[in-house]
Amino acid sequence: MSWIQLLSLVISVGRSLQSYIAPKFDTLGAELAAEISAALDKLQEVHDKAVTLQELEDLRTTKQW
Amino acid sequence: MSIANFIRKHRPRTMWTESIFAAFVLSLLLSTAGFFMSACTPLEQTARDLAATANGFITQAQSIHAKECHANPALKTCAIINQAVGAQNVLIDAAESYCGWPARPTPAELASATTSCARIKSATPALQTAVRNLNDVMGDLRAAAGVTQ
Repeated sequence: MSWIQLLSLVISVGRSLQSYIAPKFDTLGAELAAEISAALDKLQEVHDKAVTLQELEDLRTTKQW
Repeated sequence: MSIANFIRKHRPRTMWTESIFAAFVLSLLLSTAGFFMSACTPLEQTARDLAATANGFITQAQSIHAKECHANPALKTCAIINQAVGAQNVLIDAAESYCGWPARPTPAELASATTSCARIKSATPALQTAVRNLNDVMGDLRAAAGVTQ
């Protein structure tokens, strides 16, 4: 299992826990779920941002002199 | 049995211990995710981030030193800037090879390249060397060119 699969698993577990906890508690659950949701969204964003050939080519620099 | 059902079945039975349990499990979860994010960043992403940083540094250095370097390209700073350009392009070539993409692709190849990075193991040492080399050159560039970025 590669690290990316492990991270996917962690995110998946997090989503499950989040959906379980959110309706379970009133105040604590809502606050905790919101924080977890934001953290997981951030993780997901980084996880999903794959490198592309176009992106690499756009980063090339050229000699000016 | 889903993960949520498993936890529901085995969770502590009082509200207080349940809250602590939930907080503990979630802290563990986020720590684990954070560990994977920080310690196991894929090599191609490291290369991409370094190439992007180098792009900014080099562009700024070229702008700052354009006048003197066009007049005398043999100056040490001008040579280091060109060295950085070379190292950055080698890094991008190595990253493309590592991902199984054509290095220096034609417009047609660029348009048709939709696959994700293949992470070719035999190309790993070359990419790691290119990352180290560019990091070294960027250190020299930062010292010599007065780039503040």
